[in-house]
Parts: sequence; structure tokens; C-alpha cells
Amino acid sequence: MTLKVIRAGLQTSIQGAPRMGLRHLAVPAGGSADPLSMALANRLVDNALSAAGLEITLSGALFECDRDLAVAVTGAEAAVSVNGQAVDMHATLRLTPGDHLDIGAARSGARTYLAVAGELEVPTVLGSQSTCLSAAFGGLQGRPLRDGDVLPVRTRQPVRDLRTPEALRYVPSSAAVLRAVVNHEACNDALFDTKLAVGARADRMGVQLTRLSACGESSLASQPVFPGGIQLPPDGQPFVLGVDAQTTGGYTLLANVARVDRHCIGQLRPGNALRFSRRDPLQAREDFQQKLGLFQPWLQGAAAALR
Amino acid sequence: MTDQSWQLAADDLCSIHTGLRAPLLAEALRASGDWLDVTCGRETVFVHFDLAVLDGAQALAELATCAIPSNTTTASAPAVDIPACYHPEVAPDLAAVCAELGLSRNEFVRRHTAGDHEVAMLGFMPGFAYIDGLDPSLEVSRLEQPRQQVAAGSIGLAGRQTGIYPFEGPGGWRLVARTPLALFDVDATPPARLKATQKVRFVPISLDELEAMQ
Repeated sequence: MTLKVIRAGLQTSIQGAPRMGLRHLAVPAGGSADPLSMALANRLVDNALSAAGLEITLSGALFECDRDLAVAVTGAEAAVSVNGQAVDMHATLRLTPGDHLDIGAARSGARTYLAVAGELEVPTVLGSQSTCLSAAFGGLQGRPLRDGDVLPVRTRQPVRDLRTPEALRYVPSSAAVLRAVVNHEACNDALFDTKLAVGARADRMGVQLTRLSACGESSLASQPVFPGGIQLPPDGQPFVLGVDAQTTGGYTLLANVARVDRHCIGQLRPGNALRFSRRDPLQAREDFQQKLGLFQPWLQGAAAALR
Repeated sequence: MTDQSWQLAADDLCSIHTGLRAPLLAEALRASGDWLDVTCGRETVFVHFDLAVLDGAQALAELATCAIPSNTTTASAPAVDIPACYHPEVAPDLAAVCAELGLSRNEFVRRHTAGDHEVAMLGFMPGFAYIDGLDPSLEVSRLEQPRQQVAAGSIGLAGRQTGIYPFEGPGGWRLVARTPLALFDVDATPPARLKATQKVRFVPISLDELEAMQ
């Protein structure tokens, strides 16, 4: 069966599991920018938590299916409808042949996730079906989806209809607080407990923030950086590295968003307020284990959803 | 600065400054299969560990048991030849670079192809190599405004390094040549043609040869 893309929107791409172990070859981890939301959607259609689905950015998208197909929508809040009838996010949806699934523009957060029961039939490249946009591989021909694309799906019907338990519905906030651990070489107090805002640039590579009073250095020797890194370039506008960020960077590194909150980076959108809360590494581990414990009963193997 | 002990660089990142032994140590740690990612800059190794399995103290303790190689290089593998076409048609910045350096194009090519270069690390985009060993007389700064589109295979200069773009994309290096070599192939093992410490040599080819090899 197939899922037809009638309107692809601003940027919709196939994303799921990251590619780990390849950073020394300058391959970014990639995968879902908000893996928790992708996992929550996959759970509702009985998929593996890191199964590849569709990551829909800001503007929404419109799809049509040609057979019975179970899907689920999570992530950034949006009006979702089937043939014009409003339906719920965070619930298993049963589409029938010819149905139009319309995912509206994100009202809070940046990325809405669509899971389809079964498997998107695109090749696994370097261990994942996720689209690597910078090097144009993975996903559908290594590119974002376009209007008219037809995605082959090997589907199966999930046994039960599910709803995400209320307490586990991650709804991206327009005033996020991200926990971060100071880099041992460059501590900068200006970063913490300061009201910051997300600037105009917010994509899978990273998110630019409004100016700090301090300025960083450029032309430091490039060194490895990781998603969650908070860089301070000479223009004083911190840049939070996303899942598709370059693997090396030459700017002052102030801190790293802790793993517990890294999935939230993918939901930051221009204009959002943002604050960093300072944690030491052991506190950050406790925070992480607490969040794991919260999701583990619903998401078996929740660690894959919090990366 | 050579504090040779592991430190926590984040809740799930460790780093160690080992000087020139970094690439060898990184390779050994990668081979162990115990870590999510192991990567190194010029002199520092970074290890990304799985916080679901270890806390920082445990990761540091485990890493402390890993021997740091005592030498800086393995028996040197032969240099990889990188065919490079320095024809103006595929080297949009070459004329300006030569004018800035006060060199003829032939002299520039002679100096760029004279000796071995060495890959410092990969970064920026999959398979992009930062290559040391540029003749100091060829040092130029980056473009002030990066290009929106750099062709795949473009060979550029920035500071004391040569870089090769495996894919089309934006970039600010001064483009002085182009190679037909595929530097990143998802079907190859490993997918990147070059790696840190690999010696390379630029071998001049004509525009016809470039087209024939592409």
C-alpha cells in the first residue's frame, strides 16, 4: 500500500533512529529531532520506538492513503483532521482507503510526528532509514518530501486502539527550561537563569538564541561537538546544536544540554522564550533516570526515546 | 596543556587531552565497541557514553583502565593519491588566490602537489577532510561571505589547511581545484575514503581527465 503526500509543507522528512558510532567520519547522528515524540507516536501503532516515521516542520502537511492504515500523530500541537473531521493527537487513528489526513500548522513546538503502523519501505542506509539532509542519503532519496511523493508502506493492523496516558503527553512549551551541564573548560554564568529567546534560525542543525552580554571566540582549533552543545560565536548569539549539527566546531563551547532534555531542542521555534537551568553531571543523571522511570512503563526501552 | 586524565565534558561525554596520540587512542576505544561514539580533534579524544547504562563516575573509572598508546602514529600507511584538476573552470578562486600570493598558477600547483599532506580530522559534513601540511607560502584566509553552493569534489584552502567537499553545499573555503574522487560512499566500508592521520598527495590532472574520471 502507499501513503501519498498531497502537501509536503515547509520540511517533512523521514526520520527515526539516529546513526551512532559514525561521528569520527563526520556523519551526524540525525534521526528524529524530538525522538520522544516519535517514540510516543510509534507506541500507539505498535511499532518499535525508533521506527522511521514522518517529521513535519511548522507548516503541517496533507496525506492520502489507498488502503486501511493505522497512524498516530504526536509532538508539536496542531489541528489534525481526517476528511475534514477533527481527530485527536496521541491516539491510534484508523484510516480507510481514500482518507485524507490533514495535519495543521504547529501551534506550539516546531515538529509534529506521524507514525504509520508497520514499515516505510525505504532503504536502510548506514544502519538507519533516517534522512541525512546534509549528505543527501537515507529516507526518500536523501531529501525532504515533496508534493506528489508516494511512500510505499508495508503495513499491519495494530491489535488495539491506544491513547497516550495524559501524564506522558509531551506538549512542547513556548517557554522551555532546558537543563544543561557546564563545559569544564569554559564556564559562563551569563548563560544560566537569563531569559533568552529563540532567534530566526531554528532547524535540524541547531537553534540560534538572542544575544548574550558576553562574546565568544572564533577560530579556536576545531574540536568535536555533539548535539546539545551550546556554542558562543563572536557575535554573542549562542547556538544550540541539533541532531544534524556538524560534528566539529571552532567556537567557545559554554555548556551542553543534558540528555534528559535534549529531545526538547527539536521543538524550539523562533520567538520561543528559553532558559537554561544549571546542573552538574550527577544531578543530570538523576534527572535522566527520573524521566526514564516515568516513561518506562509505557515505552519499553524508553532510553531510545530520550537521547 | 597536557592533563592526561579523563574529565566529564557533559553528563554523558568524557574527554582527555593526549596530544598527538589522540587518533590512536580514539581508534582503540572505537574498536572496543563499548561506547556510543568516539571521536577526536587534534589533541583531544571525546567519548559519548550511554547514560542509561553508566553514570559519569563509572564511565571515568572504566576509561581510566584503558591504556593510552605510547607512540603517536602507526606504521605509516602509504599516501592516498588525490587526483586534482587545477583548471580555472573548476577552481573559481584559484586566479584570485594566485594573485594574492604573487604566484603563477603553475607555481601554485607545483607547491600544492609537492609533498605529502596529512588528514587532521573529518568534520563539517560527512567525509569532509581537514588536511594539514599545506606549504606555508600558500596560506590564505577564507572567503568573507561563504558561497551558497560549492560543487561536490571541490578542493579548498583556509588558513594552513586544505579541505575537500564530498557533497554539494554551502562553504567558505577558497576553491583552488576539484577532484573526481568519491570521498563518501554509503555502500563502502568504511563509507569515508579518508580518515585522521591518513597521508595524502594531490596529483594534478587535466580538465579532460577530470571529466573522464567523474
